[in-house]
Amino acid sequence: MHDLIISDLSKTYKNGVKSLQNVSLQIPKGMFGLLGPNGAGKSTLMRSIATLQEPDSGSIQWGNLNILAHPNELKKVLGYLPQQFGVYPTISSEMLLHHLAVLKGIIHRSERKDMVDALLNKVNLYEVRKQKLGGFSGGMKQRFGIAQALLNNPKLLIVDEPTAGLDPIERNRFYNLLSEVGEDTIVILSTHIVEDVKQLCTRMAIMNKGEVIIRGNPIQIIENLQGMLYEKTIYKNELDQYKKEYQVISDRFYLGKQMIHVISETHPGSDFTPIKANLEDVYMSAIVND
Amino acid sequence: MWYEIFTFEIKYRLKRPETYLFFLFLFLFSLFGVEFIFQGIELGLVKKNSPLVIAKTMGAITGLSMVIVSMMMGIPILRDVQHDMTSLIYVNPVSKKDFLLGRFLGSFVVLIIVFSSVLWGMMLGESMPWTDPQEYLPFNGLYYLQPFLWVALPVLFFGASVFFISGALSKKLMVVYTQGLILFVVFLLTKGITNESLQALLDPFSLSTLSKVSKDWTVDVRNTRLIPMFGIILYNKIFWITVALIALVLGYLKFQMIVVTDKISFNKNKQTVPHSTDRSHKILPMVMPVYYIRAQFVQLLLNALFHSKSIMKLTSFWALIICCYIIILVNSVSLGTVHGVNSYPATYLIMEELQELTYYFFMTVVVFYSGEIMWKEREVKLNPICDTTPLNSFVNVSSRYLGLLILYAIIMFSLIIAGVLFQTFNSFYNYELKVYFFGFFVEIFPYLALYTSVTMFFQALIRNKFLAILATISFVVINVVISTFGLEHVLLNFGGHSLAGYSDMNGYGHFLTAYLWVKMYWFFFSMLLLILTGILMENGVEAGWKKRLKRGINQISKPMAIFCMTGLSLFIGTGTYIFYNSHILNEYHTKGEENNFRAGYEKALKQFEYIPQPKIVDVQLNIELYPSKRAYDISCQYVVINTSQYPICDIHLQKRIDSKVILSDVTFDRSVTVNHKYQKYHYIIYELSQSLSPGDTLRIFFRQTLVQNGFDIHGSETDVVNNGTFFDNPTLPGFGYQKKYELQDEEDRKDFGLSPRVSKAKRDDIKEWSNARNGSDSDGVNLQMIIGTDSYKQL
Repeated sequence: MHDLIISDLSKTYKNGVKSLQNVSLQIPKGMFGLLGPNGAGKSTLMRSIATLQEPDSGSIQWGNLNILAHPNELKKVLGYLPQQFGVYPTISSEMLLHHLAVLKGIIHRSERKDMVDALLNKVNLYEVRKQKLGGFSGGMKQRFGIAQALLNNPKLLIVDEPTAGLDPIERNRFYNLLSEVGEDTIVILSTHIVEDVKQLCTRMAIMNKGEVIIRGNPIQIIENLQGMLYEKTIYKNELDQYKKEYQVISDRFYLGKQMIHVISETHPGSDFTPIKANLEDVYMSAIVND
Repeated sequence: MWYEIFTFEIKYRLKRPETYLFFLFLFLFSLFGVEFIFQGIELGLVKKNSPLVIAKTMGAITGLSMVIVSMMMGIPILRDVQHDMTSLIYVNPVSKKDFLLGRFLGSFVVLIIVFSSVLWGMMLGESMPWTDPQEYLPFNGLYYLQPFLWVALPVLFFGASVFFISGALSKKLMVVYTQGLILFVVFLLTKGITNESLQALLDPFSLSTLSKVSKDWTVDVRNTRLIPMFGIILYNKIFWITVALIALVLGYLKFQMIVVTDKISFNKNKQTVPHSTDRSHKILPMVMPVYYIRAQFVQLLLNALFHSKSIMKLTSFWALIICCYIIILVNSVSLGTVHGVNSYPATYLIMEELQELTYYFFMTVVVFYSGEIMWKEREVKLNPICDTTPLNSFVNVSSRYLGLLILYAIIMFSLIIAGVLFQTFNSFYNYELKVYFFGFFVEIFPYLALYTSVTMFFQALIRNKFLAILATISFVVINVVISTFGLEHVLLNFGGHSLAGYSDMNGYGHFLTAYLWVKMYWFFFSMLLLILTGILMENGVEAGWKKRLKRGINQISKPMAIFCMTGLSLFIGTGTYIFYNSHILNEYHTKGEENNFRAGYEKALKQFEYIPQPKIVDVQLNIELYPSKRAYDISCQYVVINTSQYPICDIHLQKRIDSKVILSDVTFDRSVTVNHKYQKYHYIIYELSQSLSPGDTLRIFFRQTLVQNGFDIHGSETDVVNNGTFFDNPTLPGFGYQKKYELQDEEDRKDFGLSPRVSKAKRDDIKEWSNARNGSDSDGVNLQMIIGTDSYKQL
């Protein structure tokens, strides 16, 4: 399968916010994680790939298909779970899935029914398939969203913050489903939860302020930071001081004490403890340095 | 505290574009207010800016604008729910009283500001260039102000209170959208009350009340008296203000500043928590999405069903239907009473009643549910999901269109059932379902279908449900207005003409052909409109219409382009064919041309009005009827006698003015010279070689034929229809000037410089004496008539 090639994508909103700035990415088959803080431009990028939004410049190419010029061709193989969506409150999940399946071109009744039933089972909504969607909880709705994204065996699956609102069990179930699908599909997963990417993705990118600041294989990315990371417990009022003197990438509380992580080429001092880098540190360092 | 909320509400409202749009809309509407409300009603000597006329117009405009009142007053509480703000707002230490009072008064003040546009608009409307100063009194501001304060303002207060409370309690947008209509339904219901005083008391817009109050007023009083502030009108106001106050109090008591009401949590409890019977290990099946034409057709049908089903799941829809049924029930009590005699509930009578009563109802359904169906995804934020499906945009739009048509059909069938039930209860069993079917599906359905495409187009263009509704209403008004400004033609006035009434004797007769052709023409137009709508709907992209149009056009596939071109050529084709039939095969005159002709006729021929002409004493007719061709061929001989005291030298023959009627082979029993000077008016003068002395007779022979060419859109004649005839003596040529061709309307006559018509001649007007009976051509005849017709027809 061809890689999805995003070149020089830029988008500036009317209010002047530069949501995407010359974003270029090459996304191969498998799970691709898109990390970044709120407002980094992840959703804009995903909406642009899903053809819901037109970038100001740049191109998105998939094999011979120019996605921006032929959105409908892409839609035929696209599965999309938006960050926010609603449902018709008065109809059942089964009915709405059938409706969406028809929209996706699955017009044969038996074929459609098999798929809808299988998906309802996969996302554990089969028992409540006749219930009105208006009565669904946030997590149930999110599972419904996952089911609809998979209706047409998508070749390109875009999931925007998919695990929001899921409890740990459902989240796990969803990961399994994603990795099952991801074997021969391009899956783009955006999240601000580092954990998600660590567990699932073979490739990733970190975005901040509309730019891609790091891209690559998660393990390699972590490797680059190895041996440069130190940790220290300090008093809260010392934080500003440390921030001036060292390159502090994260400060947080651990068991009620202020804890900082710093990056340094050389050992910053005996009171610092060297630690193993993890993805979270990569993320924090990338964003702090940006 | 309430004062802060009050000022915030006003400031917030003044920042919203709708506020200004409502103002502008009402202002423009009020400019034409009197003309629009009193359209087709003869005011006589009552002036258009008399307090009574102003009051009625204001009452009617506020009544018609109840939807706007609802939009403005239903929203203030609902707004928090819509924007998910309730939790943030209700948690503050604001008392219920302050909260409700501030929001209500703030909105009400803005409402009054918005509706003051009615006052300004109507005042300005008086001095618009098209007004005729003769129809107006000198300007008097009080004549506007008093009715506004006394008639319109209480109506607004009532509407504001009730809508505010129902919006606050229901917290549903659809309630806000529909309640204005429901009040309108209440108004229609009061129209059905036969007791005049009760009707006057209960009319929410005080229209019947004003009529009752002014019933015995003389013209002078009507022109000058302000609206009385006592008697029935006072009771009417007290009644509705009391209702409003009760609503406010009840609403205040019932309203709770909590986010989750018991009703919802009750539903939640009912919900069964699923036990995970894990079947998720199964591998997902493979599906084969298809996109060829036939598949798109299936998509179209399935989606249409889905859309109509989902509208039928809305409570508001059923509320509307029930309202409609109630109106019918109330009105059907007096069904078919003609000249005090009860008719049988024959189907065509019931049908007429149903059509009349459901017209507004259907228009409402069209306007509101097209908005609903176009944005249903956006409304619940399902659009990002639906917009990423590869659904062809034309299939998308037309499935919504079809969904609405299905809905209309369902409503119509249910109305038919209502009609049949009514007949059954009245022991009338000759149901004539065909009449019902035609009445709805031939007369009403095409209009609904056509206007649905228009509203959908505006929805796609403007992308704001409510503004699009206003645009549609403006479109309807413009469509009416351009026809009064002379642009009246079925090919220009959207939707074409309506069908002449159904007759128990010959159905719709030959009018149906022309009607269907015109509807077909507009149908192709609305297909094109739907294609354009599809292009503008271009999935998901929120952008200006130009950008969407450009992007949409880029997406057009080859089959779609072919489809589009086919539609366009069919549209032009049918248009041309209709034009050929109505303008080339038949004559077409605009109102202006016709007036010109009539005025010309009078100016040229009035000189002959009282010249002595002979009277017919004997007629021999040989009539060949061809009902299937709607034609006749008449050979005729007149024997005429000179009853005057002067010799008659010229016979002035006036053929019936109709290009389809041909008069030929006119011969006399003596030689004549033909004078074609007035041929234009189908008026020929035969100068007799040998004049007709008083008492002498003369024979005239002629042949008159009626031939139909193609179909005539504007003709309304029924001389010969497919199963019968309807013509009598004026069909045949007469003598001399015919008063019936004169311009009748006094205003028009003035424009052409013609003196007013005398409606009754003076008793001693000798000249008129000769016109004693049946026009002027005869004092009674001997008649011999031979009629031939198609073998299977009956006369």
